[in-house]
Amino acid sequence: MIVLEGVTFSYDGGPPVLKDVDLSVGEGEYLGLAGPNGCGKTTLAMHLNGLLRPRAGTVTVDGLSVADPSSLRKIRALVGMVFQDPDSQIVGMTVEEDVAFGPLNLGLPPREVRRRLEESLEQVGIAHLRRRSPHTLSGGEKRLVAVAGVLAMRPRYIVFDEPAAFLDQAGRALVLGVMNRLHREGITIVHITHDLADLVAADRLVVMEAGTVTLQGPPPEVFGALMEGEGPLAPPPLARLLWGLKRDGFPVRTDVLTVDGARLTIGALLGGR
Amino acid sequence: MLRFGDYTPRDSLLHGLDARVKIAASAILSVVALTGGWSGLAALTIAGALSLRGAGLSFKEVLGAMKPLLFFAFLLFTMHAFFHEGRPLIDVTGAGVLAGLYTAWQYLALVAVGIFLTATTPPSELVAGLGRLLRPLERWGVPVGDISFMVAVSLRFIPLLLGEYERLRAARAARGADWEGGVAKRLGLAVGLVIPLLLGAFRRADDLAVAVEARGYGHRAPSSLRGGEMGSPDRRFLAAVASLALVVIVLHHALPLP
Ligand SMILES: Nc1ncnc2c1ncn2[C@@H]1O[C@H](COP(=O)(O)OP(=O)(O)O)[C@@H](O)[C@H]1O
Ligand SMILES: [Mg+2]
Repeated sequence: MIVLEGVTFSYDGGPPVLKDVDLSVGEGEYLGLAGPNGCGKTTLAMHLNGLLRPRAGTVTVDGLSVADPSSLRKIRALVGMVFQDPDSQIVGMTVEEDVAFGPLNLGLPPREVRRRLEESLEQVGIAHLRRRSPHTLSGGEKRLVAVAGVLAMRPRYIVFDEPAAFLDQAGRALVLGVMNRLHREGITIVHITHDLADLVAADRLVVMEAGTVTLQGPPPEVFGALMEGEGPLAPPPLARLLWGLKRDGFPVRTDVLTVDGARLTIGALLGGR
Repeated sequence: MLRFGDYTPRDSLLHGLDARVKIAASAILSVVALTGGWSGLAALTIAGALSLRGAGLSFKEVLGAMKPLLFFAFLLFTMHAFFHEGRPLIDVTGAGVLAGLYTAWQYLALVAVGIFLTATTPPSELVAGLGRLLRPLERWGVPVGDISFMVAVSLRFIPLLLGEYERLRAARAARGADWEGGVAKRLGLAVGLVIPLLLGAFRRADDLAVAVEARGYGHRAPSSLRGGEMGSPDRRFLAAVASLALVVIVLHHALPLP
């Protein structure tokens, strides 16, 4: 479990970017973290594995405090980070080399590094790209290389910062599909985005606004609250449709978030077949 | 097509060798090329031709990689043929032509050694190998590990920077910047490209520093995929190269071979 208590943070000399944030990430959870641009999502993400230390408050990962320098190495291995721009995260000249970078930094013996390399490439389905140079890959493929590089560290948690940014439909589906699979395989996912439509399948949503957490709960509840104007974001189109119908007095379900679910509840309303 | 300095992934004997061994062998062979005389160059050339298969390269490829550098060989040749010992020659002498041929051959031999080395060793391994060869310098406080990591990362970012440069240039061109005109104007345009490029590179360097920290860099000396030990093929190869060099140089200096 990752626990943040009363976390406050400001960049050197700047105004506070995080203000008294309380947040926990449970083991095995798929947590969605949403908020408008500049609200502090990336800054918060960097607190989850000690890349940034809070000015006030505490952050612990499985009981280890990020304030304790001797725990940092362990924390970095527990909490993997997939940053927004894969080009700023990939250091290898080839895919293989990049994926091996983390395990080599852990000082693992070559045989173990090779094993993790193979497994991670398989896990995200990019074994065929192993000899390629990163700059010859598509945006989606680059993102998967970054994911494989993180997986090779065998993390318990992975934080994805805007994993679908700048990707086309196919690339987005590819990356989100891999994230879902990793979650099913038992990895805890923190998925950061400004687009709530990517988070309908999350176990829990956290909405941030100007450095504070303003809403959290299961997606249908959070979407409902957002419909009431309680947050800085608009819910995804499907939620807006269902809540709109409900507001107009139609007895539709508002806890379904997929096209098929919406079709059924609206179909029932229309009298079925 | 193989270009000079390019790495080409293949499964060959040379590809499988430790980068340090290949760097050391290249150094030895360069010494042979520079000090081994005609017989040394001949031995090198024959050895090179015989090792093509062992490097997974074809004769045509190596020639192709040498081609853009042939002009310089020709230049070396003419300089020696026509300007012997600094003075222009009225008529071309046999000695001048021979000196020109010798220098051009030396140069091409060095180029070929370079092609064999870079074609069979990924740049990152080259850098890592050099880093490990220089490791003893760490005793005097030289951060060899960090430096070789920096060099390796810079290599990775060259294509990225080139891509950014192309994008910026295209964006400028789309907004009507044209490169016709005086030196001052072109200089202005170039500065307008370089500054955003540099700013982008600095931002990227910041992001990268955070990203490598997140991936555990810097807590301890990283291990290496190649393992610390050199295998017996590595040792045998180095022994073969060293004996070739020894024989050629001894023969050159002890016998009246040219
Ligand atoms: N390295 C930095 N130095 C100073 N200010 C920063 C830095 N990174 C982000 N900020 C500021 O912190 C605020 C939150 O940024 P960020 O966490 O990136 O938000 P988000 O990821 O939600 O878009 C913004 O106002 C941004 O300008
Ligand atoms: Mg961000």
